Amino acid sequence: MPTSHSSEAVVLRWRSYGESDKIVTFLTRDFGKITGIGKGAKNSRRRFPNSLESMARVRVHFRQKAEASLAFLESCELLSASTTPMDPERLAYGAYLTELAEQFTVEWSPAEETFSLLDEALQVLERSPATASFLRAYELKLLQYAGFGSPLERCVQCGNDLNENEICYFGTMTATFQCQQCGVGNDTHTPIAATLLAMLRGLRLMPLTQCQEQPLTNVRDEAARLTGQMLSLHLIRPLRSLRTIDQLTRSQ
Amino acid sequence: MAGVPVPLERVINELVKLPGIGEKTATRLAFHLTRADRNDVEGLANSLLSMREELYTCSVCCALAGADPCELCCDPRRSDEIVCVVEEAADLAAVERSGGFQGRYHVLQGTLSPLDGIGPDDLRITELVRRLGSGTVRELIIATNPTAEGEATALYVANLTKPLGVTVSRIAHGLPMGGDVEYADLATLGKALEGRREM
Ligand SMILES: [Zn+2]
Ligand SMILES: [Zn+2]
Repeated sequence: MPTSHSSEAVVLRWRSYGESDKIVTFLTRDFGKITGIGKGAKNSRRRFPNSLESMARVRVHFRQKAEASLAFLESCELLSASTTPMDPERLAYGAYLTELAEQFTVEWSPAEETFSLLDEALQVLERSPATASFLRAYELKLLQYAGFGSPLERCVQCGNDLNENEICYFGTMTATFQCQQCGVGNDTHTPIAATLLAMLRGLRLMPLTQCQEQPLTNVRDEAARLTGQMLSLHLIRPLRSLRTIDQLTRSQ
Repeated sequence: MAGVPVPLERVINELVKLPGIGEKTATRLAFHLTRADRNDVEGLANSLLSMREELYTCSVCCALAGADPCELCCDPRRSDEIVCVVEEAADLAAVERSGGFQGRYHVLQGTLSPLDGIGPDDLRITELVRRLGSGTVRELIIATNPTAEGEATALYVANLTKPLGVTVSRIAHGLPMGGDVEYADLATLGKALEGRREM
């Protein structure tokens, strides 16, 4: 007997299946990632009223048979519809956040913090553009919730506090930070300004809604490089949205 | 494949590459073809080959067509001043069926689709901008689908083309959000075109 479930969710992606069905992957609040088939989803406005679009915030009702790999989607309601049409850049950054959340979650493995993070981030993006500080905060929090957060407070080598007045070192192979004594002279470690590390620490702790306005000014590119390296250690495949973002930002 | 002769298996292997066709359907279709009239099978094979040889991308509107420029771009009864921008050739056909449009078309061949890595460089946007350079076109009607991707694409095209001195309008939201121009009923699509709003 299949069990019926219901959960808040964000649509991570979908693809057509045959004439009228959709195969949809959700990040749910209660069950982690699930993939299911929406029979007649392309035509049924009653069961799936415009709710199976990527990045949609929804409540999904589904059944799962123990032996089946795909859940059976019964219906899906839209929880909030974006009122203003998304501009191309916000759509692209929304896709970036969504792709990352997908890669850092596992099917049927609850990830409530990651769900809340994505859900909140997409809501922020509906109201305001994706600033560098917002993106870095999202990346740092995502890594932490997935269990890959690099310690930003202490040296991974000796355990001493990383001093905000000294230079520290970032290990490019391990994406971890070391104090000056441990990191100096090691050619896989690059020196990092202490102010940058303090900034990252702040962003990881700060509520996402407040991260939008944090100035990163002179460390903007370096912060992006660091979190990019931290993420790349755990990515299963390249992020497609980066190609779109690159084209959109280049053409300005 | 056990129990399936190699020539048949070759056909099945080709058919499963088509969207929405699984192995079961492919096998059924292949068996059907073994029983079909020889002329019908030849007709199918030849039409597939000639499709590839005789189909062009129209150098004006970027639609797939049997000639370049296509029939619609050559039709002297249509107005050059107004261009309807659609995602796909199927949408062009839908607008055409609605019967209410007498201008020209431009087919973008897709939408901005960041989850698939599709950006403006992958769409026929440069061709559209080049087309506007002649100064003949006075209005663009953007008829991309009312999805997040379609809206973002409409906005991108509008921002790029408005400074070139054309009026840019968007088909009215008579189409349900998340809907598809291709499947809209004719009356709705006609009204959506008529009730377009300047962007
Ligand atoms: Zn140390
Ligand atoms: Zn043409």
